[in-house]
Amino acid sequence: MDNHFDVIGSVLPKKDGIAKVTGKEIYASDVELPDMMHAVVLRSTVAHAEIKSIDTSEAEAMGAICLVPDDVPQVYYNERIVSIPEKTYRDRLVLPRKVRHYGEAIAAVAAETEEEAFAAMQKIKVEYKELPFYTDPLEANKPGAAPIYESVFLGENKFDVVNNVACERNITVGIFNCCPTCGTRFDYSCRLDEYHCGCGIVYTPAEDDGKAFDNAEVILEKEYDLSRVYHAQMETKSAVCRPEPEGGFTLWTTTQSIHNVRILLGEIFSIPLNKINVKRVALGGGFGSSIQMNSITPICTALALKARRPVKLVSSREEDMYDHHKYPAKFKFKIGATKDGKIVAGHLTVIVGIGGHNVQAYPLLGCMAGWYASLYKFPNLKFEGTAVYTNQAPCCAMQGYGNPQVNFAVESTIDMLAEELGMDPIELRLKNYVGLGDEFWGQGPTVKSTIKSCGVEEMLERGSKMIDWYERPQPGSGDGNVLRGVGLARGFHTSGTGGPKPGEVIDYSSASVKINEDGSVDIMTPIMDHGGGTWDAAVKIVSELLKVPYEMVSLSPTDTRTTGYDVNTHATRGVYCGCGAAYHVALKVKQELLTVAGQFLEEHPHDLDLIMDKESGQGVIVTKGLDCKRMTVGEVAAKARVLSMGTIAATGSYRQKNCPPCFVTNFVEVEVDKRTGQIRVVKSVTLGDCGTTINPDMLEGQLVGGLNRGIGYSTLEEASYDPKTGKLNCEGFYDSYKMTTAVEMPPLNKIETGFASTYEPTGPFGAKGLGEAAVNSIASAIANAVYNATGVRFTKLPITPAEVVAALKAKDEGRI
Amino acid sequence: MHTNTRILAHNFVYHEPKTLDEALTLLDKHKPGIKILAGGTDVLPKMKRNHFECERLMYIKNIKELSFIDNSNGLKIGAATLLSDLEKSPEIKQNYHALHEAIKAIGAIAIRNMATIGGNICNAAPPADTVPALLIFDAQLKLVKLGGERTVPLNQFITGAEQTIIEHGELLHSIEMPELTGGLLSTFVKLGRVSVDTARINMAVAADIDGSSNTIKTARVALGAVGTKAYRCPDSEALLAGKKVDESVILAFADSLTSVCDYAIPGRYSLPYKREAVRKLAEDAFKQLLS
Repeated sequence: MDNHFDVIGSVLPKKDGIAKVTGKEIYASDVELPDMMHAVVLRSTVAHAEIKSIDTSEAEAMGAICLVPDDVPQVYYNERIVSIPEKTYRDRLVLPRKVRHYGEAIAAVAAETEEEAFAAMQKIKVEYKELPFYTDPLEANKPGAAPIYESVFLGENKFDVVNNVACERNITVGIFNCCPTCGTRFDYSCRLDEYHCGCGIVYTPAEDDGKAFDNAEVILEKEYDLSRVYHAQMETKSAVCRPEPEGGFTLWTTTQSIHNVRILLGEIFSIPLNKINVKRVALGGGFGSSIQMNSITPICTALALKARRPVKLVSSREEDMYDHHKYPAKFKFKIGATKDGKIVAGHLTVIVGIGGHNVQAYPLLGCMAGWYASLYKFPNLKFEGTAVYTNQAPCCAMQGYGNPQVNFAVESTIDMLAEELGMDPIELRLKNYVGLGDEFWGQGPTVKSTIKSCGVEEMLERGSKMIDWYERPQPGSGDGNVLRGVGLARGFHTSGTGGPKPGEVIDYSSASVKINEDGSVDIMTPIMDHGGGTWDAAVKIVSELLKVPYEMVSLSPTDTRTTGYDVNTHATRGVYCGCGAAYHVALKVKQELLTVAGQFLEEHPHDLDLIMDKESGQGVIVTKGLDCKRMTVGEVAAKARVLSMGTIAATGSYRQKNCPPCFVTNFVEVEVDKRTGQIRVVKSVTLGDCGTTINPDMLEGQLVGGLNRGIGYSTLEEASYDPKTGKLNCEGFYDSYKMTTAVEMPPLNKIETGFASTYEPTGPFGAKGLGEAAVNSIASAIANAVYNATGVRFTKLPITPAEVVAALKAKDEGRI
Repeated sequence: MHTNTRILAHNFVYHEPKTLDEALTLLDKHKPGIKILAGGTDVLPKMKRNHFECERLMYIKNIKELSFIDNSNGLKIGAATLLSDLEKSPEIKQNYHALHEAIKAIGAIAIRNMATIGGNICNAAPPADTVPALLIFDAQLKLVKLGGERTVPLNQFITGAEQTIIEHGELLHSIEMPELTGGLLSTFVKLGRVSVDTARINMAVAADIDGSSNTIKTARVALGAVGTKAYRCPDSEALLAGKKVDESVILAFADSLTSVCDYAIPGRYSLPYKREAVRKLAEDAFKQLLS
C-alpha cells in the first residue's frame, strides 16, 4: 500500500471550476450555431390514448418544420444500451403512435425562433382515442386492465405483454424452491401452482418458504411502500444537432454516455458511426437521468435531418419532470433468524410501477436482488420482482438504482429484528453483514465479485462513538412535544458493473494519454463528470502516475470520434472504471517515457524512476536509489521532438473486473415534533468507504449531497399523480415539488463526515467509488431514528407530517 | 401539454403605464378583459399552468405613486411596494413587527425582490402571509378608479379563496393602518413543509402586555390558511385579554385555536393535522412575543 501520494488525496482547484463559476462552461443548451433553428415538442395532454390523427397543416403554413410519427424511422429501441442485447427490452419509437403517459412527446416543431416554433406547435391538431389509464401498478396489473402494450421486444424476440407486466425476475439461493426430500431445484419461473418432484413429493411454492424458514426462531414479515420521485438534476435535457455536408451529423447533447448515444442514433437512423460525432459537453448533474439516451435527443436529430439545418431543442423544467422519475417500490419482506441473531432466510417481494416505457426494469430487478443479497448473509434467499407498466413518466435509474428502496426495507426490518431479539442493532449487523472475502453482487445475479476491501466494522465503531450511540434513548421513551431519537443504517453501492466474468452488463472504458513537448500532459477520456469530480480524479491519477504536477495535466475536449468506447458514467464507476482505464493507459505511457529517457540517460528503464518536482513544476526522471542523473519529463519530450523520435503517448481500453462495494454507515439524530409532525435531522454522522480518497473535498460533498437528497426522499419528495387526470400533482413545477434546501439540513457543525482507512487492491491507487452509496441508507437511518424518537415505525416514504401527527395521536390514545 | 417555462402559451396585449392616471384610464377603457401584473410571483406560475388568461395585462411596478412607505400618521404603504423594501423598513420592523416577520416568511429573497404587498393581498390566496399580519393591524385598503375611490377594511375585501370585492376598473392603491397606541407587541408565525413554502397555517398575534403584572391587557389574533380566507379569532382574543402570561394561558390559547380549526374546516381532509399543528404555532407565537 502506497500512502505517500503527491497529488492523490490533495484538495486542489477543480479543473472546470473557473469556467463554471464564471458562467463560461459550455453545456448543450449553450451551443449556438450559424443558421440554427429552434425546436419545441408537442406533448400529450392525456395519459393513455391511441393517436388517431395529427394535423400539422396550419403549423407548416407558418413556415415551421414539423415532425410526426410518420416522419421517424420505425425502429423499436431501448434508450439504454448498457445491458447485453439479449437482456434488453425494446418498446419505443422516436415518436409513438400511442400515448402512454401524460406529457409524452408526440410531435415536434422547428422554426427560426423558439417563440415561432411554439406558436406553430399550438396550431397542431391531435385527435386521440382515449383509453383507461393507470397510476397504480396494482391496478394496471389486474386481469382485464387495458393493455398499455400488446407486445414488446426482448432482444430480437417479440412477446405478448400480459396484465401489463413488463418483466419479472425470480431469484433463489439455498433451499428455496428445492424438493425438501431429494433437494432437486424447481424451475420457479414457470409459476406453477404445484411442483412435482421425481421422488414423489408434490408441494406448492407457499410451502417452500416454510422449509427455508424451518430453523428460524424469530420471523418478521413487513411491508414497505416507497414513492416515485423526480431526479431534479440542475440541467434539463438539451440537444443541438447539425447535419454535416458529407452526410451524418454532429450532436451536442445532455448525456452520461456519448458513445451509447452515437450507437443508438446510428441504429435508429441507419447511419454508420463514422458519420456521427457526439461531442462531450459539460453535464449539469444527472442523478442517473441521462444514463439512457434522452427522449428529446433522437427527436432533435430527426428534426435536423428533416430540416437539413442545425436544430436546437431545450427541455423546459415541466417537460423534464414529465420525462423521468425514480422507480417507486412496494415491498413485502419476510426475514427469519435464530435467537442468537443469525439470519436464516429472507424472502423479498417487490412490485415496481415503471411508467410508460421499460427503460431498464429487468436489470433493476436483478440489482434489487443483488443489493438485498449483498447487505447481509442470507443462507436461504428468495427474491420475486415484478415490473408493471403504468401510465406515468418512465422510471429510470436514480442515485442508487433500486438500492435506497431495498435498503429501506432491509435496514428497517433489521432494526425491528434487533429489537425483537433484544440485541443491539450494531451487534446484529456485525453478526450478519457481507464483508471481506464474501461474495458481492455488484450488478444483479450475473455480476459477482469477491470483496477485497471493507470498512464496515471500522465505520460502525467510529460512527457509534461520534453519535454517542449507546446513550440513545429507549424507543418512544421521551416526553414533551419534541421527541429526540438516534438511528443507524448501513449500506453500500457497487463501483462499476464489471465482475470477473462478463455478465448481463457491459463494462469497459477507454483513454488516451500523451506527453506534450514541454512535459505537460493531455488526457482524452469519454467519461462524464456529473459534478462529483470524476474528471479531476482522472487528472490526479495520471498526474500521480507520471509524477507530472496537477497543473501540468489537462483534459482535452473530446467526442466519440477522438475516444475509444466507454459504456457510461453510471453505477458509481467513474473513478474505479473510467479513471481505472486512464490509470492503465498512463502506465503504458510511463513505460514508454522511461524507455525514451533511458536512451538519453544511457540507463536501463528499470533503473529509472519518476519523482514530482513541484518547484520546477515538472515530473523528473531520476536514477533509482542514487539521484546521479536526472532529466525532466519536459526535457525528455523536447529532446524526443528535436530528434524526431515521436510523441510519448498511448491509447487503450480497459475493463475493471472486481466492481467493489463502497460501503457507507449513517447515524442520524432527529427531532420529531408531535404537534406539527415535522421531522428535523439535527445531527448526521456519515462515514464512507471509498478506498483511497482521491478528491477528499468532493467526496465530502458527495456525502453531504446524499444526506440532502436522503432527507428529501424520507420526509418530503413525491412525484405523485392525480389518479383522476393522470397528471402530476405538481404539474411539473418546483413551487409544488418540495425538496430539501440548505435550511432543512442539520447545522454545518452537526454534519460530520469521515472515511474508512481502506485500500481497494483492484482500484486505481486503491480507490473505489462513492457517489450513489452516499444516499442509499440515509432514509433508512432517518426512519430508524424516528422510531427511536417516537416508538412508531413508519414504513411508507415520504413520512409526511400529517401521517406522523395521526400515528402519534393514535399511539397516545392507545390505538396502536 | 401546452406549457413551457420560457414561453407563455397565451397571447395578450401588454401595457406598462408610468402614471396612476394612465393606469386608471387603461383599466377603465379595457375593462373587463384587462388584468394587473405586479411582481408576477403568483400570476406567472398561474399563466404557465394555463390557470390564468387575459386579453390585456397591465404592469404596475413602473408607477411611482404606487410605491411608498409613509409612517407619518399610522402606516401607509403603496400597493406596488416591493416586499423587500418593506422588509428593510426600520419603522415596520419596530412598530408593525408581525408584518415584518410575515414578509420575511414569504418565499426566498429573489421572490421578495419581485413581489409586492398589493399582489399578495389581491391574489387572495388563503395562505397569503401578509394578510393575517395586516388583519391584526386593522388594515384598510384604498381602492381607486377613474374618477373615484373608496376605502374598505381588509377583512371585507377578501371574500374567499382568490375572491375579492375589487371591481373591474378598480386598482388597489394603498394599505393603511392606524397608529398603534400603547406598547403593542406583535409577531407572525408560520408552518410550511419547508422554510420556503406557502403556509399550511400562518398566524399573526399582537398583545399589549403590562410589564409589571405580566398581564395581557388586550390581544389580537388572526389565522390564515385554515379555511378559504384569513380571519381574526375573537374568541381567542377574548380568552387572552386580562390573563397573566404563563404556561396555562398558552395551553388555553392553543385549545381555542384548535376549536377555531374545528369550526372553520369541519370534515376537511386537513383538519386532523391542522387542529394539532396550530398548537405549536400558539407556543411559537408567545415565545417570539416575549423574546
